[in-house]
Amino acid sequence: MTLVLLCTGAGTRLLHRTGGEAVWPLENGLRWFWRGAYTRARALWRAQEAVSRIRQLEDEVEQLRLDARILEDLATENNELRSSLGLPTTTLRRPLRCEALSWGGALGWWRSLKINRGVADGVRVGDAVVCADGLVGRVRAVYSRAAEVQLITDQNSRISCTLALPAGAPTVRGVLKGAGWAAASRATAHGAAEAAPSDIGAAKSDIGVALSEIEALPFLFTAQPLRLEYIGRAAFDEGLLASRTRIVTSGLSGDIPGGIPVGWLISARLESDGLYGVGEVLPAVDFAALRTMAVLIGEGGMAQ
Amino acid sequence: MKLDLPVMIAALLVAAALQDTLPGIPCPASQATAAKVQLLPAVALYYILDRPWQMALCAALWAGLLTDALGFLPAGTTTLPLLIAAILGVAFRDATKRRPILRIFFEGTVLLAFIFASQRLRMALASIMPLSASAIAAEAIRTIPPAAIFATVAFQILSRIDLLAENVSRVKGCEAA
Repeated sequence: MTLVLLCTGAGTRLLHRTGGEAVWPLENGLRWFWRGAYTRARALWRAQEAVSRIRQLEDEVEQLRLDARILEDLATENNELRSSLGLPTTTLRRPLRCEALSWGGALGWWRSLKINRGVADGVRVGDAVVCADGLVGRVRAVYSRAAEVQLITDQNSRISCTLALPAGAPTVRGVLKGAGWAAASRATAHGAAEAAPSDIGAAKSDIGVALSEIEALPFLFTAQPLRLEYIGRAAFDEGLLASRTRIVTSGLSGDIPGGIPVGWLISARLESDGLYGVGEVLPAVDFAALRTMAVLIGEGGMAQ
Repeated sequence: MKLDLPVMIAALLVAAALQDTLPGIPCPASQATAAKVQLLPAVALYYILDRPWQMALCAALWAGLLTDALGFLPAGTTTLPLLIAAILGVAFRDATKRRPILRIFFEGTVLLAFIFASQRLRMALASIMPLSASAIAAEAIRTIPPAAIFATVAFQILSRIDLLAENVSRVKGCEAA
């Protein structure tokens, strides 16, 4: 019966959930041991550094608390103005700090990570996970005390984005797609230079990046570029796709709020059919150095 | 009371947690995803080679289910090939003789290569993760030997644990009453 169920794919969600719940206590234990034992042992050799670092962090925390208080006042004023104009008020999403328990799942094939927040903390499927630099990913599975997050670099990730253009410029939207394996070989300055069109110039239908600019960017090519697809032709005709244009979430992707930085546009070109274009995007988040994250939970959830 | 089941469950859960938590082995050449060493099939190898067929199938089933669940794979991707490997392993093994370490390593390599190839074939047929042959070969070279080494170590550890728990007797080939 088990084999029949497996062959028909029945109970897959139950299987995933059960596996995640069964392994979470051990993973959390390993994380506790790492933080409790190794970190403390290391602190013995770095006591003086730790003291100065603590003072620096305390100052930063105080500054951030002041900023948060100001931003809360601004948000309240914004909602009052919106209600007086008859516009719907914005839904407040509170950041819930979280840490990574593991990366890549059990096989390392997917670009994902597991965080130590789950249903008990108010996390839901579809919630955005962010860090100070920008969008990290989206929650795709939730357990009681943990959650699986699909990173924006995963090949199955699709995020609706828009270009952060000056006020008055038309809105340019696209769908951000994770590069996954395909772009691994392009994550070098030389790779990007080879990918740039030979007739680099101001041609409206084929905007590229000058070779000198590419060579100035090698330090940024530690992450794999993403792809921004379905860019409207009008954006090419009007010359709106300048290199290093900031890209943010549009707010049209379910529970991901708009305005969260995603990356910078490196280059863009029109597809052969002439209807849409595609661009390469450098992610804003350095995933190799990612430590502190937060889940944006809705008003119904609980914040720490 | 025999402790076969608790030992098996504990071994599989520890292997699952380690497999999920430990970082993968990066591939500097292609900068591709850091694939992880598969520890669950390595634990199942002990039961396939050295324990009764019921326990071998049970371990293979649970190891496959856990791998598919934690790796977000379609159900049956790892379970079915692992069950097939368990049936073949039980049919052709000789559990009355002690196995040298090198032989365990070799049999572990064969099993893990079969599991890896089945997983990749399944993913390619479903068009979930098409990869070049070179990338697949690079991943296989990175992950299978370490997993075979772990299988050899796990074999020795689980043998000792089963002896201590009196699940097996010291006379090879005789299960404890």
